[in-house]
Amino acid sequence: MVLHLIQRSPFSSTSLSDCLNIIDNEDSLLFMQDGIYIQNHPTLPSISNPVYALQDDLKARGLATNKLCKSIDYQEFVKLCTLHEKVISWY
Amino acid sequence: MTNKILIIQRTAPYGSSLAREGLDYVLTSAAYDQDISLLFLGDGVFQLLKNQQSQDINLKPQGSALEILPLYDINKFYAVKEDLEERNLLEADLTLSVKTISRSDVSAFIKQQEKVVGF
Repeated sequence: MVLHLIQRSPFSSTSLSDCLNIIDNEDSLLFMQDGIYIQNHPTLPSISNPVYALQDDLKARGLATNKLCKSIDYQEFVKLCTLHEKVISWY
Repeated sequence: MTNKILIIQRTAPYGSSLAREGLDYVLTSAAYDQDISLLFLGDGVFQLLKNQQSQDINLKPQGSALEILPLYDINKFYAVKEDLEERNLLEADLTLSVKTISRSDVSAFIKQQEKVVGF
């Protein structure tokens, strides 16, 4: 059970596609930094794992919250980390 | 305390410093007697190419640096099968002997580890 932190835009980086190639059904994805541009990317609806986005990073970039991607604050981020066995960053 | 650590190398060498930083992490962990495995994934498989001669771009060759890892008792090298195939790489092209692992088996492999660090 892994929490994957996607930190690069899916439009310019393979962070997300590399991660999706090997992801397990039980894993979750948290989009942060430029990773939050997932909200404008066509792959978002096809992701079956739980998806989260860091609120401050959305706000900073002028993106609204999206119903397909739960926006969370730093406290919830920490909690998510504790709920998973491992955390892997993709940048 | 010995930890079972997996280092995931997923960037090509030279274009960014990540591949080199991953290697530094590996060498540092080896100094602390950790149980290290390396997984080359995505463009990270390009680090494994033979005949990297990066001296003219003023960077240390990643391939030769990887070759010395067995001297530090690091012998567990894995590469994602589909990522090699996608990039048209054969085992004969690689500077290290790696075990290939298919994408569908990577999550089970990650589960066997105590710590996972991606570069």
